[in-house]
Amino acid sequence: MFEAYARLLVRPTVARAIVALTTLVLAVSAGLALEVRQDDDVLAFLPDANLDIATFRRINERFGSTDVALVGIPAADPFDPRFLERLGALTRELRDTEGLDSVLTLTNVADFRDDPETGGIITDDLVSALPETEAEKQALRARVMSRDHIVGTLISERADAVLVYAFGMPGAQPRVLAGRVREAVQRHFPRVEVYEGGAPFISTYIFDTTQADMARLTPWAVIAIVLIMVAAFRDLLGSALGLLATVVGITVSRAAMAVTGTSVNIVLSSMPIILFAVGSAYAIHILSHVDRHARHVGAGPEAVVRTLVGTGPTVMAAGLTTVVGLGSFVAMDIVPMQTFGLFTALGILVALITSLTFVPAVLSLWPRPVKDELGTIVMEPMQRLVAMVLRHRASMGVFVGGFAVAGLSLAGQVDTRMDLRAFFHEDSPPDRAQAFLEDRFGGSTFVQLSVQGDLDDPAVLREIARLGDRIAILPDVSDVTGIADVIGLVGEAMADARRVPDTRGQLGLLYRFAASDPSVGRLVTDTRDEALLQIKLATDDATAVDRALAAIRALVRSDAPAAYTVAPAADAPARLRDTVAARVLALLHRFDVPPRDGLADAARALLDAPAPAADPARVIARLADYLGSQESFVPLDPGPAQAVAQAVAALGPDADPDAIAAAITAALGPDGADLAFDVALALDVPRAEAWRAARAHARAATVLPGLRVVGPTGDAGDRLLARLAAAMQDLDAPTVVVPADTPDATALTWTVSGMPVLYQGLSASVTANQFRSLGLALGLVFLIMTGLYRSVSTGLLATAPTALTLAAVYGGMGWMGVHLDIGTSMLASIILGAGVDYAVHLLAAWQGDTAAEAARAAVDETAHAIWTNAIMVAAGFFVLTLGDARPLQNVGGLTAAAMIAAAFATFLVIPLLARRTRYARATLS
Amino acid sequence: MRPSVPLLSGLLLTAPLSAAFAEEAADVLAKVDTVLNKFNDQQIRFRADNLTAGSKTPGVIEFQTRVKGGKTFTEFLAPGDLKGTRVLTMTPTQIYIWLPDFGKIRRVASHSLNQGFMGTTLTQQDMATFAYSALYVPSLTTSDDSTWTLELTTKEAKDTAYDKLVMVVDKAKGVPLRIDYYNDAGTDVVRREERSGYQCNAVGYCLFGQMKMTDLTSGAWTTLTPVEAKIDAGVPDDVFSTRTLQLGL
Repeated sequence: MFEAYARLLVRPTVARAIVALTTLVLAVSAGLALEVRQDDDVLAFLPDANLDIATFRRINERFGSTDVALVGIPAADPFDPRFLERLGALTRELRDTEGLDSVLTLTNVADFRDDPETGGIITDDLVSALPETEAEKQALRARVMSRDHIVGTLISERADAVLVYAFGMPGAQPRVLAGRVREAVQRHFPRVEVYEGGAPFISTYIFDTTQADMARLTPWAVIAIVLIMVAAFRDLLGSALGLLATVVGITVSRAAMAVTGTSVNIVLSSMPIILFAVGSAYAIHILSHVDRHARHVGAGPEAVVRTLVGTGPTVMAAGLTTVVGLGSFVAMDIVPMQTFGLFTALGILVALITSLTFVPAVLSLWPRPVKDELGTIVMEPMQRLVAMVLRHRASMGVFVGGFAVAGLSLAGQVDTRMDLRAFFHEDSPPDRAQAFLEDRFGGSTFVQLSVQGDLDDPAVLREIARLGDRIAILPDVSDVTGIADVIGLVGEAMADARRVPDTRGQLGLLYRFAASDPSVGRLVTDTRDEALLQIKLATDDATAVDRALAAIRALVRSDAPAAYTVAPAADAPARLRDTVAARVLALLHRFDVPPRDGLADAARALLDAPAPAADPARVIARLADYLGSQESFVPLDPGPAQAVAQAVAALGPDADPDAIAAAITAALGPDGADLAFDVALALDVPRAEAWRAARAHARAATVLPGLRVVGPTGDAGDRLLARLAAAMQDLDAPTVVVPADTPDATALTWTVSGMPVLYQGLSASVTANQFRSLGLALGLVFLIMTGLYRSVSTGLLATAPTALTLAAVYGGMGWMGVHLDIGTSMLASIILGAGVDYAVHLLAAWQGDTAAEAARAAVDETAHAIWTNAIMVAAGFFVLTLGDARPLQNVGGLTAAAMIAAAFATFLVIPLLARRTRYARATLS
Repeated sequence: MRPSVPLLSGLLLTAPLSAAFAEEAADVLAKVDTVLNKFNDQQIRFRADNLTAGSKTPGVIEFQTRVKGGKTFTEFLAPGDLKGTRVLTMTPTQIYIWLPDFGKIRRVASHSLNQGFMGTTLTQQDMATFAYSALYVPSLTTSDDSTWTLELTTKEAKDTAYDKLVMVVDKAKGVPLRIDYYNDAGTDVVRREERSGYQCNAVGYCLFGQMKMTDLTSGAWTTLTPVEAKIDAGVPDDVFSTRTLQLGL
């Protein structure tokens, strides 16, 4: 069949037609190839099949978790008006930037404070005006640093850095978002080394460094390949012909991408190097054999015919194994990897076809001068190696077997780990940013705990807060924020208590007030059926992150109810007490109160103890303030207000309404008698609130001495006491969530997610993909080999060198601690596809009367081409190690080593295992 | 450098013209203020459709508002979590809120001009601005058969959330059809207010049939549609008190 084809091809009209057709295809494809677009969405690498990843995607789409760009700005004095002015200008510019949903910085965060003169609150930006004097600056510093929810979030605890949060619109392109934020920051802080964190910046860095490396290194890789080719064949025109076959492969593949609307992703950008390195092999073998035959029959059509007949099937089989190796990527569940495999395999296939059509057609039409046989420095060592293997088969067998076992054993130590640190070097910008954010803002790695349930129920919100409080005190966790915290802040502003309110109506109203804050949408859906706890980890060390994740998962499993009923608090006092105890412990942790053993039990015991009496003086002060304020619809002068407050407080918390009315009437005297009814009405709710707050304060005051711990002093001590008092009010909450497994129980679904979970899911996917694609590639290559040689044992023999190479490469990875990730998981199939070629060619040339003769003939015929190709591929990939992108370095270095190992293994394993004196020629011809 | 003769003559020629335009611009804005405020009191029930950034379905809020003498009294009718909530606005920065489920009034002195109004794209200032002349200096940029286009520049930056507005005014009715709110640099429109379907009464007061405020950076929008309107029906002064706020009408 091949002979008929070869005779047809060398006819001048057919050869010219092939050359013309190839030129036309190249020209058309080149035009189309320019239309291929770039896709920098690293989230496209997330497979949907994995449950963790599907959950991450869903949460990300709902809450936009990966759309947050962080910029840490160091500042010697962040309260300096010039610094604040620049930060404010940056904030306003980002606010008005297209594609940004919102921005949060120290200069636009809302704040409120009590209005001591007329009652109520004053709401304003936390930094409402630039300080003009040193005293104003110090006052601003004191105010900002007293806001516990701001410190460590928007300004560092040491007040030496601020953090900018830029929230992208849902579905924003990370690269565009990062670019716009970076431009704005550079405009306002041109000479400041800022630290860029968050998914948009990190994914952009990975994409940009990889792209830059590819753009910078691809020409060098091609030059290296060309130089090796020219040095090997000493024929510039022939080398150019070989490379042209690859160019056609690349161009047609990219044109196919343009036609199918496929974008170039970060992996596909490496296709040119792979194609130049691997795809040029076929033309090399054709050129090499045409030269060989030309020495016997002269240059021209006959040499071409003999080459196609003798070597064509081998080249085709070798090419098909590579196509199959790369095509096996379609078995992966990561779409960009499938795309990469598909289009790179297509490129290889086109290069193969071009090598079997265009290249021989050109050589037939324009024969090159006959050249002397090329000597090669590898020929002699290979002959010696093969002879030694044949002489010492037993000992070499033991050696190779031992090597394979050792390799496999070390390969077992290769773990799959998707870890951001794997993507960049120490002291690279993202690495420095992570260190900065960890040092100043407690970290930048977030785990999210999603809760699906009835979030309009305050008991449910308290339950979520309880779990958040328990997580907050876990090691490696630096902060936990949830919607309950936001509701608490709004509640403090609107209702004087930093806590989740008691009733659905109250909670619904606070949700409404909170809705004006764009960051609320990152914590709860507007349908209020799902909320997120944002858990900030204090580290990004992969081991510590895994440990923290395991602890969070364990806590969720043991402590988060999957179903519940809402019970009156009186029916489940222990549950309510545990909720408040968790809050107390979290607050002590937040205010850096040194822990001690048994603190949790002590807290529960303290809360079980009888409540201390409330201080009436606190009630009087609060009522007097209220009555004198404009919030009372019957505002009183200070004197009558104080008198009424005293009279009402004296009646105690459980006074009867008539007694209260009488006391008010008496306190107001004859002149104010007509106001008594209105005052009683106005006081109804404030009186109950005042007693509740006084009781809570009295109990809060017992916490530190009761638990025998030492808390902060001064302003921080006052703030801790106020927070504890707010927590104590929860002891009077009317309802509580009780775990239940009855049919009428309501479901509460907890899901741990976030980037660390995503990496775990991706790791599982990469491992599964590795087995799937390698299994498919091995199976198909074995089938091709078995079909080619019509022998199972020869099929196994042909794949054996590559199997040894894989054992060596993966053993090396295990030895050097290189993880399996998306990049390195590509290795096996590439090595298999490219490495099997060598065995195919060696076996094809294996013929002689004895094994030694057959081996010698095979080495004579193939060593030059095999080593030329191995060195070319190795050089092409080795160039990638000279870049900055760490994944490319791993893939480049390992593939380069693997190709050399594969060539060496071919000359080691085939002679070791070959038992025949002829494998191919009879069958192939 | 001394000004050249042509430059001087140019300045001399254009100066009266500029003054005339400025006068016309001020007149146009004054006319807008007059038309929008030509009532003693008003009582309007609004439906607000509100689409937040990233969501697909707009939420609906209904409220009734009474306006007199620069004060507003707003009572929310729907949805359930807002129902019964009342807001008394004495000035754009002095607000009293009746919180029905808490049983108390909260006085809020808001110094933040662009604080959102109940999760909508409208701000407290949007809800309480009745006259533009007091806040902005107008200049006439274009005029065609049916509209004037005014550029409004803030008089005092601290009094306005946006320093630059561009207002397209309907010549026939003297009402704003579109107001573009610009970013700090004055280069890009970040919010757009569009009003349509004006209906005017006999004394010349005009009320829009729909107003839409769009946040152009996030895509969020809010439409306000008057469902029922009573103009000069005699809203008593004591409506605008904390007593009415707590006890109801």
